[in-house]
Amino acid sequence: MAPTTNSPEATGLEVRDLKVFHGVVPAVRGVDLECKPGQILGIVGPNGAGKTSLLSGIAGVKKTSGGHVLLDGRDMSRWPAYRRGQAGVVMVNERRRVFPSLSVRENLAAGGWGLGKAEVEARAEQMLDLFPRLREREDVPSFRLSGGEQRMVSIARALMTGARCLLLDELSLGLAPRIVAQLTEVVRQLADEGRIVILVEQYVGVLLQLADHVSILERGRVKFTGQTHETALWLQEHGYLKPTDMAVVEKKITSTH
Amino acid sequence: MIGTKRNGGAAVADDSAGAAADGTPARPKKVALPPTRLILPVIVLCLGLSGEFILPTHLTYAASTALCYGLVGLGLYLPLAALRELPLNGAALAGLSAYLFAYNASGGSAGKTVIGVIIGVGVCTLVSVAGGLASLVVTGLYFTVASLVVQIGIEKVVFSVGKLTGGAAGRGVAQPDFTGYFNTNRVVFLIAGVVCLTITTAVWRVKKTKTLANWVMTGHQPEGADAVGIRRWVQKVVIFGLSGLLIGVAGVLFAFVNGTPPPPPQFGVIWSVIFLAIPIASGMRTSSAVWFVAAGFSALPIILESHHINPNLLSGSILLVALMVSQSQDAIMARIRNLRRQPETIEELAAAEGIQALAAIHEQPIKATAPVQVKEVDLRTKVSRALVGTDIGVTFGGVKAVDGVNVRVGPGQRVAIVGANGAGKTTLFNALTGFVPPTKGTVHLGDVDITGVPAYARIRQGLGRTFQLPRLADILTVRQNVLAGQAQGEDLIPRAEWLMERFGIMALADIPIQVVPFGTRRKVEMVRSLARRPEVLLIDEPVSGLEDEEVSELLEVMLELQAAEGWGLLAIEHDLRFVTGIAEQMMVMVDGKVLTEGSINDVLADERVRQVYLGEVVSV
Amino acid sequence: MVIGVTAAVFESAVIIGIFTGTIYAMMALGIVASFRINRVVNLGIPGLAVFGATVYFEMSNVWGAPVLVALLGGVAVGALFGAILGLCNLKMTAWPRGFVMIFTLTASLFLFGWSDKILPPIQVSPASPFGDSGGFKVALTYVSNHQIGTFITCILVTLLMGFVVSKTRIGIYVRAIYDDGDSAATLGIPLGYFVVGVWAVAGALAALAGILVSPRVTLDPYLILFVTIWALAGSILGGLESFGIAFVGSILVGLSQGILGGGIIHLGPGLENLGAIAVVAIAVFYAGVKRRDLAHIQT
Repeated sequence: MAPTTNSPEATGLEVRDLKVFHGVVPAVRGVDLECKPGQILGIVGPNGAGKTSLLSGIAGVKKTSGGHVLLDGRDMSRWPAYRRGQAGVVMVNERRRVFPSLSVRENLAAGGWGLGKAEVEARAEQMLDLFPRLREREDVPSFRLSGGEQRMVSIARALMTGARCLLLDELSLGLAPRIVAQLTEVVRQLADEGRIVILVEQYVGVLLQLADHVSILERGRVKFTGQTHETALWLQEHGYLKPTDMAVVEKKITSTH
Repeated sequence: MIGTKRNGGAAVADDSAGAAADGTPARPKKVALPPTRLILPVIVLCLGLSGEFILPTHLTYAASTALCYGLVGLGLYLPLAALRELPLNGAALAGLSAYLFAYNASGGSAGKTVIGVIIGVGVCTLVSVAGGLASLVVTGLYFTVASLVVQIGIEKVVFSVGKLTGGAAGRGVAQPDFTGYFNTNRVVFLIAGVVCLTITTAVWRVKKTKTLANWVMTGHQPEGADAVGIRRWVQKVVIFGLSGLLIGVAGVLFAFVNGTPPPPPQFGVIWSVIFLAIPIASGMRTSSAVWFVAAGFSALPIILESHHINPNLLSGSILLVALMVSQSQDAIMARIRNLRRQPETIEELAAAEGIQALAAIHEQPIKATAPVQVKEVDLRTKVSRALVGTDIGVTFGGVKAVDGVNVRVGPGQRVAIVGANGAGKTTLFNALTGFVPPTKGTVHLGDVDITGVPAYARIRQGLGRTFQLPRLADILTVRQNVLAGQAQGEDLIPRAEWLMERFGIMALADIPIQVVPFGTRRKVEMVRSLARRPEVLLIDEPVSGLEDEEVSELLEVMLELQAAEGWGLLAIEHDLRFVTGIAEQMMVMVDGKVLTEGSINDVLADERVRQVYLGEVVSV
Repeated sequence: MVIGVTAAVFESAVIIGIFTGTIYAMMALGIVASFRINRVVNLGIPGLAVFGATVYFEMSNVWGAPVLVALLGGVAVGALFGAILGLCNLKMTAWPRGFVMIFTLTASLFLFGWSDKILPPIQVSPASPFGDSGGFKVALTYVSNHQIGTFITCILVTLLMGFVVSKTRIGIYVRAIYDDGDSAATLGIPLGYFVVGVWAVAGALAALAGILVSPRVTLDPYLILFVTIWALAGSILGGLESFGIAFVGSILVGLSQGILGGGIIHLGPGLENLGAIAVVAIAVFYAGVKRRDLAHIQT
């Protein structure tokens, strides 16, 4: 794994007053976020709250209509997506999973822009070690893979770049719980290596288990930000979680942190 | 708490039933679609007519040509705007009609001329209809290339038959022989003008009816079209047939205006593209602008004739300008987008500058409609049939998305399906409503086996459904979206208006869907389904994207309507508040199978269900 | 209808068909190359071909430059204009693809116009880079060095392009961008440079095609335009994605024209193209239906 610096300049990712429009309809209406290296920031919210648009805006895949995105204090707001990618801000989109016509190995190689041939090989090997299931299907065109495998490929591909900052969209969507458990482990490990991870989830359970901080997004605005425990309490107060659920959540939180 | 709500719903239903009994029968009235600007073509024609008296004769000839161009442009505008298909065979179709007309009419007698017109226009229409049928199979890029092949085919095969085209000299077509002020050119122009005016008016009349909404729905939201019971292939055939008719008439006029059909290069592939550029440059949203562009296209070469500009450079410039003009609309919108504030409510949204500009482009007035007095409608429907799915299985590329699921929604029953994403809930919906063919199992509505019945026909049979992402045509208004398609009864319009009022979206009735917030779109879809008096309504995640208050409002309305009308309800929903509010029965799906089902309290008490909700490992 | 087909006549029809098909295949290369990066059907190809051939003609026949220098000049100009088209494409990401396609056609029209201005008013045929004389007889057909040279060049370029796309890292990036541009960009792949670069290659291929095609058919824009349309039809069989299938498809179109129009089956004047059109129509439908199924599986 590419080690990540924890130098004083590495202040993490900062999003200030970001605005993203969906055609003429505002999807993100001025969002502030901050995530330090080694932390996982969870974003939760109902459908249509602007979660994916927010991530797309940070990654530069979607044009933003205002606000700033800073990585380690460098303003990237005007950079095209590929420059942000080279700087280490990589998005794993829930809807766009793999490059379907490429094989698994080629998908991984596509994440190796700017690296030497040997380096690409070495990192691809690391990824295949990380996801042994993919090694079995190395040369299969990736459109033939199952949803879970495709998700593994897209995460592995993002890791190939040695990304400083991973933007993960709906990690658990449509995946079998076993695979979700495996992926959450990987994500935790990535953060522990000093990466910045922003995780969008609709399942509060998974999110509370993984994240250090959680922001609740509604109608394109941050409604609440806090530590995981605070968020769980807030969710309970607002009727999203029942007291009985709380017990389970508490158990999960204590088991991981 | 649920009980009180139900009682409340019943009480309201009683009131409304009373109101209906008071003698305010619902009367169907005309569909109030926003007016199209007929004024523009009229102005063009007036300009043309005044030109008739002022212009020198050779320019009247140019004006006649412009009318022909405009007619071809209008013909291509229909598939382009309604179906988003780019046909590249306009010139060949026009040529086909022109040559067939000239071939048959060259004798000169009136009878022969009529036969020539019929054969020319008829063949052209038939070829176009064949293209329409082909567009059911091949779409997008493939349709464009296929139409290009048709163009080349006609050009290379038919146009090379000297007997048909009349060789180099061409085959003469009788023109009225006049001298003096009303010379032949002017009379020809007058005739062409009258023909064009008639046709434009006819097209305009068609556009004013609900047909327009059906067309747009067919092309822009095929699944939405299915969900309102539109037979899509019929719509496509009609659109392409009409398109072929217009191009055919234009072809006949080409021959008539020239006195002989123009030589084959005039109907070559480059011209197909130039003809296509006419509707594109007119912005694709207004049929009237087609005439202006056509006038420009035909006038430019004549104006620039003395400068001896290379014809390729000239047509290239014309095309480029056309493309830029059509796309600059978007640029203008983008500029407005940067200027605009952040509107909070839909009224503010509608009032914002951007929306007004959008409205201007759409030819549709944007204003919050004043509250209307909607008539109470008879709520009682005859619902007696149950939707029964037996052992349904759907397999995608080896993956069992749905695996042997049994569902039953009886009259008046309210069933909810919950489960993680990817559990196969929506696929089950699709199989029940005919949007996905099941690999195994049967679907019955009452006694009728509807397993093999296409989606639109199931809707007509009495199913109603909404989608996770609302399938509404962006460029149509809320009202047009609701009213498009087939209705079960006579009272679609009053019922739809009543429902819109009831769901609180009446104020937005004339606003294009494009600017309507996501949550509201769900309500529009629900109104659209309910307006058709379904016997069983299937709603897919009805409250995701809605605010808390909206959820409780929606719950109230749905329960009230359901209590009064008695349709069966099958709902997919994650939001447990809504589920517990709306359903009496509940089934939980995991990995394409039913984990458990039963009355809602029993299911919710099940520990496994709770685990599913928290994303834990559960296996069936 | 079949009149006395001798083996020799058939052979000659096949040979004529193959060499006609080679001409289409040359044009198809550029179309496939530019489609392979951003899914735009590049109708600028005929313009680039004509303009490249015009530059070649000017340099070799008028300025008297050596053939090889003229060839390189023509190809370079083609690449330059291809790159400019690619740059324009980048500005049109919000346009519907069909509109971008029509835009590329305007580029063709402009290049046709400029070629018209440069070339003498009479029909010209530039000299072949493989020499104007020389050749041999196969069956009843005379095969010139030019035809053989074109055929071999076409196969080599097809193999080279196929190799680059399927085996090299650049090929992986190109296919990644083709599959999903946004995801490729977020991985740090500079999308814009690739689009411009690949379109430049497409322009160069088009110019090369023009230089090799025009000695046979005279430098007439409309002839080249028709050649391009046949090439488009031939390459749609592989969904415009595969150089190999485009080559085979183009040869098939040429063969059907050679066999159905070349003296074996006489369908009368004007109808000799019927067979080719039928073949192409079937191919387009087949590809369209096949693709629809594919799309359905993927979603």
